[in-house]
Amino acid sequence: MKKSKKITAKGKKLRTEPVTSKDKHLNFMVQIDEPKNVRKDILEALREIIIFMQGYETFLKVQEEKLVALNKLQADAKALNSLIENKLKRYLPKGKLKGLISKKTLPKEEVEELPTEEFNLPSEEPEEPEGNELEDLELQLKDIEGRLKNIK
Amino acid sequence: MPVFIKIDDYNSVLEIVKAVRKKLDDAKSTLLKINDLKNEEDHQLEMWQNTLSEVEKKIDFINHSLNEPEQF
Repeated sequence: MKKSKKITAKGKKLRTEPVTSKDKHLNFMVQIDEPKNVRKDILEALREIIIFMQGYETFLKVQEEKLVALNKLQADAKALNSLIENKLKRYLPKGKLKGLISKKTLPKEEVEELPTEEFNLPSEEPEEPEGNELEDLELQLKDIEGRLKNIK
Repeated sequence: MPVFIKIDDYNSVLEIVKAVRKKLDDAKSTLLKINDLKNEEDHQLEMWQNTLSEVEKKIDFINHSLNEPEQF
């Protein structure tokens, strides 16, 4: 009853009214041109989504495997570092060649006669900050290159 | 001028170098495996992308069929 009152009272606003329950029961038909194709597409889309979800499971497994492999790689890297730092380095001469560089000014013969054990001696100078490591490395490189030239 | 070192030290160094080489080989094979897994992931992602675009096409077609029926 209220609806009918509103409709009569508001006149033109009738067109903007929402669809009433009566309208909903109207059986309009919509023609679908290719129903078979629509059905086929729906089914195929469903199938592909299921495959997609299966792929997700596979992807998770792959990621887990990758995580395990990454952890193994990290462990390998640590083991390598430990082998080189703690074991191999003990047997090899230390990298600080500052002492040698100053001795490089000595005549060539004297430098060659230096025993190799001297390389193992810790440098008497206090450790320099990390910023100078690059310079140290450059010096070492130059020294090595010089030695290589001498060998050739 | 030759340098002489203790045979014990020499053997120890050789053993350590051998161990280092083995670890390096392990790390290399692990890295290869990670690379394979990454490729597998990439392949899977590509497949997903293709699947999604296929589904999108189908949904577009369905949408088109439902929303734009033949005009009389």
